[in-house]
Amino acid sequence: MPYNKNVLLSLIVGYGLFATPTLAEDFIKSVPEESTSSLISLIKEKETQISKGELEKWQGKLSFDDEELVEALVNAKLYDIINAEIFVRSLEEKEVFDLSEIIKNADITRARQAIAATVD
Amino acid sequence: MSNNQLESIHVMPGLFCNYTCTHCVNDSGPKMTKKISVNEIERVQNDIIEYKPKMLQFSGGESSFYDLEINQLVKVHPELESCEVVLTSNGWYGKSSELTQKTLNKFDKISKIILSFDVFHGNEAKIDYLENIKEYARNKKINLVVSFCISSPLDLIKAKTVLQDIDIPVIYQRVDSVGRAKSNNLGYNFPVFDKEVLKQTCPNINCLSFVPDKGFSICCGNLMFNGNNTEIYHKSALEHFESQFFKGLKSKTFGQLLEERNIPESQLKAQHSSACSLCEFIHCGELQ
Repeated sequence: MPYNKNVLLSLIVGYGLFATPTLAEDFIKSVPEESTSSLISLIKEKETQISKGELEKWQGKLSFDDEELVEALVNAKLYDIINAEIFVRSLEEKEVFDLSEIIKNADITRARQAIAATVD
Repeated sequence: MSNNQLESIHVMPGLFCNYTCTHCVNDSGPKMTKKISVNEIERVQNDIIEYKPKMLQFSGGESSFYDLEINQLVKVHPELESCEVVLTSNGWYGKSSELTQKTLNKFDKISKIILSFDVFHGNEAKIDYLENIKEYARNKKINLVVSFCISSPLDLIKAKTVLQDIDIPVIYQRVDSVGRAKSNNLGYNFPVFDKEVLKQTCPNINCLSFVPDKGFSICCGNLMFNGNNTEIYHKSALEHFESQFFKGLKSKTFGQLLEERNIPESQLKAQHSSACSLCEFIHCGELQ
């Protein structure tokens, strides 16, 4: 098992999210390799809040539309790639569609983090 | 800092505002009376003359209620013709064409108006108001943009519903956990800590802000309005540029500042993902 998957296994077993290591391993097999880092970050930061139910949305690869939205969120400086994936996995299909349309097509610009909203 | 490096002086002439937006960084509102004093106007004028910034920015409170103070500051700029004068405003006067003219004609110079139009954060301006302001701006050749704050990318969907037909450039800004945004828990939602922020420096480093009763600082957010951090603002621009606070932010990334203070990255949480929140954490030890 790759290193990242082993880390993930020890975390979800350690935090008691699955009753047995075997069940945890079954879950980990369904998490795509490229999502493992994001999930590790999430579990480490939300160690006391995360539930087994929240893990289920990590099963399976991101769809093409999801991946496009992740990329758009990063390009728009709304999130880094890890936050973008976690955020996109929490969305309904319609929200993915609507948000993608806006970010890709709308003429919007991110302001610098100043009260007077100077554009970057 | 040499004269040509200071891009902008940003002044909050007073904290009175006719609205009580739920995300306001400095708690402006109808009950706030604090405004720039005569002595403070002189101090800001001195630094405008000294540094000749390329831009003078005014926010508030609601900037349109401070025309006298703003005109006094603008008129002393030695190179006013090439200086951009920017008002951030909530656009309340857009309810009629007459009121728009009456309100904005009081200003000696406006190059750009940033309309803070946060319909989903308690701003009471109506979308119809924008038409009158747009018309005024077109006639006076004023650059007009709409800005709105977001707590999550999903706010962009709400904003589109409101702003899709206005035909005015739109900029958005992630809400930081400061002032009323902090008490209303409206800070931008990061699921986990965003390490990119460690490579950043202060996004405001070439813009000096002035806040009444406080003074000059490059901070116009968390450290200025969360808690009482007297070491971060100064009576004059020069005094500020010579401060340890400014020198640290000018020359170091947030990652370097953390290292210098021996703060381990393991202490950082999702809410420290924005530059301003992390800066507050670094200087205050914790989010206040």
